[in-house]
Amino acid sequence: MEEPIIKVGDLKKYYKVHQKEPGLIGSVKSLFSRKYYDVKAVDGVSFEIGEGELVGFIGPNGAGKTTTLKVLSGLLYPTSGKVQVLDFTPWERKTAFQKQFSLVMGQKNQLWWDLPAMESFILNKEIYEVPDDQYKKTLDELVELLEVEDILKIQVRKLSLGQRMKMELIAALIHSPKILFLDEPTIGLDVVMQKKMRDFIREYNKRFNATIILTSHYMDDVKELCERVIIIDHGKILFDGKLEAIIKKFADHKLLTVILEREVDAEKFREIGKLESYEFPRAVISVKRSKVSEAAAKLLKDFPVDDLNIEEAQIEDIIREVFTAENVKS
Amino acid sequence: MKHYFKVFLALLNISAKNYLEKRWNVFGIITNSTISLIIMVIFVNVYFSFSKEIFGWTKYQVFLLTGIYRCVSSLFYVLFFRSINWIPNYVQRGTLDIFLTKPINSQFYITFRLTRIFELFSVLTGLVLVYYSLQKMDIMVSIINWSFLILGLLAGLLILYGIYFSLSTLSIWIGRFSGITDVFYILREPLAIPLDLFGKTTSFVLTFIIPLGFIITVPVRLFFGMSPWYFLFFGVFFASLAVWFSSWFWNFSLKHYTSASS
Repeated sequence: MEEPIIKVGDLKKYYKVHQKEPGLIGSVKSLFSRKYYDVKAVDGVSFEIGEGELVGFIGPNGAGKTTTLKVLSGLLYPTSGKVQVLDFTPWERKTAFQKQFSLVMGQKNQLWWDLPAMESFILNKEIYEVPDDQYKKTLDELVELLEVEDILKIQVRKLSLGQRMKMELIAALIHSPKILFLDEPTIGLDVVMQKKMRDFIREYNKRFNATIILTSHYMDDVKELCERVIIIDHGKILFDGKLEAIIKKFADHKLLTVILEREVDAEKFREIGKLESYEFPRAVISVKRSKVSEAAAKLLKDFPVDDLNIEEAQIEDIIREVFTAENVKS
Repeated sequence: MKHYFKVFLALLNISAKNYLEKRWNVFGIITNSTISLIIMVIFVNVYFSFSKEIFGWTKYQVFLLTGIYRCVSSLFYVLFFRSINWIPNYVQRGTLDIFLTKPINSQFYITFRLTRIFELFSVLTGLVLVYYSLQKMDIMVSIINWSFLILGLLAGLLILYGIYFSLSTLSIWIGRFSGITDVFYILREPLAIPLDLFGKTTSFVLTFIIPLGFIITVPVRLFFGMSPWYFLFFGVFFASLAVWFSSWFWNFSLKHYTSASS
């Protein structure tokens, strides 16, 4: 990797939250004395990201993904740790830094509700001091990429959620930021629109060599877009690396799917591996990686097999398992 | 500086367009300010039907003060009121996040985000009242007194800004602040009449402890030569203090900003 443009070292962000007993009496009590405890939103996170990378942050609700993004964009002061983005310390909020990144949040909007999105773009042009010719060029390019020519002059409140999200993206990209933080960009969108959004993000990353960090609940977003994935849970990084490596690291088994010619007693499968599901004629057995060929041979020999298929476990399932295991632990 | 001026113009422009989207707004302002002007004139007339002078103020001096009150409070509406009023909303909805990432001073951006240029009509009604009372009093006022008045009022506008902005900033700490508009009315109401009418102690407190007196009463007293000239400097001092404090408090609060979760 070349010289990283985002460096995060042992980042911690704790929130003080007060505990309240239930009921009215609890509320009155909490007026006078409050017990505080720390919520560790981010708890010792370190990573580096190079120019032009497209990295996915995944984790359940409250894992610390958004908090990390907010620290990186300078909204929050961290409790401790070192953060450098483009050689700036984000929370100093230097103008030169702010001109080079953009934060898009799927659930928060910056467009003026009662006006056509065009007006918001013009305002951002002034705020970011984008020269006229560059503004025109960028706008044309984005409008073409997102296919929104015909809705530029329609009031934002009359647009559909998907159309509005596209406009939000244009507003966020009009100053051609080098770094883009996307927090749940596809939330609430229908499948077709999600796909379009992904295509756009991929294209934008390629065409402008922009560095993008994306958080999402939808595995599809991450699977399709990101080569590298950082999995966060309870404020800690569980995994950082290539998506395929997740499988090697966390899934020590493969799935064998058999189609049977006639019914077999379910007990018999247990000799081979863990029976995941069995509904005649289809049975799915999970088998340790090292024992796959042995198991397959045995199946073909001893069972009335019509068809046999060996697959990697689904990434979604693996990740779900990882998170569940973590939750049990804590 | 040029950048900030350009952004200010762009904000004026977009706010005006936004406002015109609901055209009833504009008619609302015209009717509203005309009716409230008439009511005010009736009230002052009623007060002075009992006595020619109240706490050293004559009827037309009070008219002038009322007119000026209208100018100042309308100007406050034009420039600051709606923007500051929206701060609790920004905090609650998390829109503040987006403003904070903009390459521009966040206090400046939020202060001028929602201007109401059409409220200038109300300033006009105030000016009519000022003109009328000056005609009735039939006095010559020197340039010095005029400049005392104008400088004093500018300082007053900034005092009101500083106090109100700081109060609204509290929403960063308390999360919600739906009563912020009511707080403004409480601040504004006593400004409509000379503070001397509240009696000595109250008027002292409202002048030197909470410097509301410097917003309108003192500039008008300076105009009539009822207060010593150096009161202007007190006004400027309080204005600088209020604006400095609002900026310090804003930045201090942002350090503790936790951002609405999404």
